[in-house]
Amino acid sequence: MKIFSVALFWVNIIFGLSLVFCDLSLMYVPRVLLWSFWILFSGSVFYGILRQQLLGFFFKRVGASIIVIAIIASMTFLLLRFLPGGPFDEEKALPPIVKANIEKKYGLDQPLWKQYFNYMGGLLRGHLGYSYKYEGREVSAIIRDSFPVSFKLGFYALVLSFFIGIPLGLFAASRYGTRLDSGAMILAISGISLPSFLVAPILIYIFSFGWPLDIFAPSLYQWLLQNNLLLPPALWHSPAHYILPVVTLGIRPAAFIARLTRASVLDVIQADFVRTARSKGLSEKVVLYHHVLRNSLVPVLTYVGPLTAGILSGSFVVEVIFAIPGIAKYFVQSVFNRDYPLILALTILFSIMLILANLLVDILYKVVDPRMEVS
Amino acid sequence: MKFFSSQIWGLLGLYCLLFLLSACVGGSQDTLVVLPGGEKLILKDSETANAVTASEPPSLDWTKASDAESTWVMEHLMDGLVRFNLADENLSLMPALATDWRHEDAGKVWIFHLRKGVQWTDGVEFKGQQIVDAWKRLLNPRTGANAANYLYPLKNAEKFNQQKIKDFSQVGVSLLDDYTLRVELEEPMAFFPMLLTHHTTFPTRLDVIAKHGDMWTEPQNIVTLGSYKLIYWHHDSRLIIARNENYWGKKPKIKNVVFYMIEKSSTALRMFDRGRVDFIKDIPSVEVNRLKSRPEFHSRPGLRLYYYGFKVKKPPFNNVWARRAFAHAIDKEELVKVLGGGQYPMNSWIPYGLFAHNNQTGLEFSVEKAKEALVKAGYGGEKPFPKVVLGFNTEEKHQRVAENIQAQIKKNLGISIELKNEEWKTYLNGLKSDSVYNIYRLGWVADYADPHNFMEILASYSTNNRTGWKDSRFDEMVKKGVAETDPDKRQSIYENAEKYLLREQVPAIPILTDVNQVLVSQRLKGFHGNSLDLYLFQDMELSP
Repeated sequence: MKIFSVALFWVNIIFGLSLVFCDLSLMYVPRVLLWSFWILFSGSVFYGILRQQLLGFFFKRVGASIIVIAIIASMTFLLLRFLPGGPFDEEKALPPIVKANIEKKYGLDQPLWKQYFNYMGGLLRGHLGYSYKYEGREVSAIIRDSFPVSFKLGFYALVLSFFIGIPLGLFAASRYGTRLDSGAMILAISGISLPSFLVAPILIYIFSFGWPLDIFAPSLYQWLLQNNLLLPPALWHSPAHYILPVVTLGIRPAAFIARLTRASVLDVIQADFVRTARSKGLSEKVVLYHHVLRNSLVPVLTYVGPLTAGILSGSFVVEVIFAIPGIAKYFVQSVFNRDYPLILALTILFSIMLILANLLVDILYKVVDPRMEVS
Repeated sequence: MKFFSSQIWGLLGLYCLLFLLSACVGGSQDTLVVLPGGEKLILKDSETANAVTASEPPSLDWTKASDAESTWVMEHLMDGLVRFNLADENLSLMPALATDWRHEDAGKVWIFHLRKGVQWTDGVEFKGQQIVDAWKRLLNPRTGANAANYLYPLKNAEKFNQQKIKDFSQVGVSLLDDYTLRVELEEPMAFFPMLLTHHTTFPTRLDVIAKHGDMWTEPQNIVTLGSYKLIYWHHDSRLIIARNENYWGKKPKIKNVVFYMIEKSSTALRMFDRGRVDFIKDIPSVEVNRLKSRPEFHSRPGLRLYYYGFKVKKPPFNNVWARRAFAHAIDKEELVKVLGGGQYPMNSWIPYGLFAHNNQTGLEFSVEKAKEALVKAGYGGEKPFPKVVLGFNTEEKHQRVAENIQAQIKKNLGISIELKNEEWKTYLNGLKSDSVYNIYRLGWVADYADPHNFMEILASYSTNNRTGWKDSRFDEMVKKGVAETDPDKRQSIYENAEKYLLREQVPAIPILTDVNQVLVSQRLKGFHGNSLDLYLFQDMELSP
């Protein structure tokens, strides 16, 4: 039971985060209501945790995480300086005086150890510095603007992949060996092997350009066009814009989850306790949903940790194809631009997400299989 | 059979769901945006032009910014003392904030009379002091402006930027009265007003910058005086400018312009094909052939140069005959045919559209002459040509150019070239040394429409001269070209300098010039192409 409250704690945190970052008012529930619900929820969760003294475990993990992040930040800081080329090398080369002035402005003229302590000191005070490329913009402002977008996109894609992946896997396993099983698995394998840079244009041509309706049913196509019923091919301004990128991003993890679920369910279904349950005369439905599914989620959860961190921090391909103002492109561009403060901040952000996701998974293990020890 | 039908139903269901979802948000194309103050604004489709920029403008601080995306937006928001007449093929200068100007002392001193009655968007009047403030800020080393060297021609400007002089009053800019600006240069410069078309020289409001700090370029803070004003900027997503109703000049006919930031050119093209945007500048090269025949497609050579430089300090290209051999051995006509992106072969250093351009200047393609030159260089026969490394930054187009030239040199001279591509900053870093590459690729896009901008690249004092070639005779010619006020004499100076550069010394080979390609929707009228790749919406209108 203890572990359940820890799980609740994390659900609460994620709920809070999504309140901050995602526009949940989309669901036509007033924000005030959602917030008050969250506060109530938080209160009860904390009360539960305090009662069961699980906070010690929590703080131990947090302490270890801080050390890990400090090491990652230091290593990244050093490794960046080994990259050839600096942030102010351009095709139109700057005259030495101008370049020296710019480097002085950003403190790059100081010895490396001093720069390091300046940076780490700033980090302690929550200061991420200024971007070199986006003149005058604070790195924290860039993250504040772009991270919620990626988070939202990833959140929806994650939800989608669970809602498709687990039922599909379960369905295939319950029809093991039939044509339905192979059909579902062909679907899943294609989902895994199709890269998003291919899926995205295909979806765009169908749902945004009306292919093949524009050839076979021109009048219907015209009607769709005039009533603005085709989806926009890019951008991120309204729910209609969300659909295609979320589907594109969600397909691959959905397929992966389906395959993992199927394999795992097939494994568990042969276990003794399932035979016992069946021989007790329980209906197949109860056996499957109640006894098998829960026990077969462990391998799926192993995959979910890194997946959550990866998907919530955005996908470069999807964001670029759909021109979504998310954070993923900064992961790539900041390195090309040698925008040191931005690279560092993104590395730290990603590490934090990875740590959080893994922690969440550790706890969920315990929820699905109480025999496991949480370390 | 059951399996088949369930698949179909599933797909149909997905279709319906997606369409239903889009129906919830469908309707008119008018867009609603919430401005920084909380005010809601409906952008009527009939009053709004939609354009695409390839990225978020890195900065709208016109004193500091130095990239194409920022420039495009800022040229709508601000005016300088003078501007280019973009409708004129020769890009003549037009008065803007300066009503007229004259030079004294053979072009060493310039007097500008400023326009009266111009208001900033907050109602403050434009005065000469705002120009002096802007230039001081540009040259102040603490500003760390990329383009500070732009005003180095001013007397003592470089020393001030270097902090050898602390007192700005010694720099060659002063006010004779509120509306008369006097500029004194280090050396006479015939085309000095042309430098003032660049946004780094535009006036600034120090009070606004002091009040808002780095955030002064945000829409709720920024103060401008151009034909449009910034009303909305969602970073990385879109930026909206609206007509400045108090503009001093001709008011724009298009009320609003939205700039969407779309990095991928194929995505931008899809938006254009769906009628969501009216103007795109960046067209995927694989699509050019398909789009060429469409009325929306416009193309013309830009003021650009794509060249290969030789590292002349190391063998084999320390030998001028080896350089000439290579210059003779490259057939640029064939190269651009292979590329098929509409590029023009280039055989001059000064590009199309500038007055001293002559495409016969460089060494002509001739296999015999190339072989002769190679023999004169001492190679051929017993002495094999040393290994040559050709460097370029990783990009598909550069790869194709390099491969074609590699094949041509192999065929025409029998010399093998090793291609080496690197990520951009690594590549630029490699260019600092003389030993990484023997030949390198680089390009140049004009800052202003004058041949000097191109000739200066290879001057010995230029940081852009990565060849290692230093020649005092060429420097002298470049210097003479700057000071000469008579256009005919200037033209002949540049023609001679170019011949010296490309026929005798050959530190670099011009390869091609890229074209400025744009797609302009049919509802946007009054579009005028120009070689600067600068398109202003105040010159266009929307047809109903």
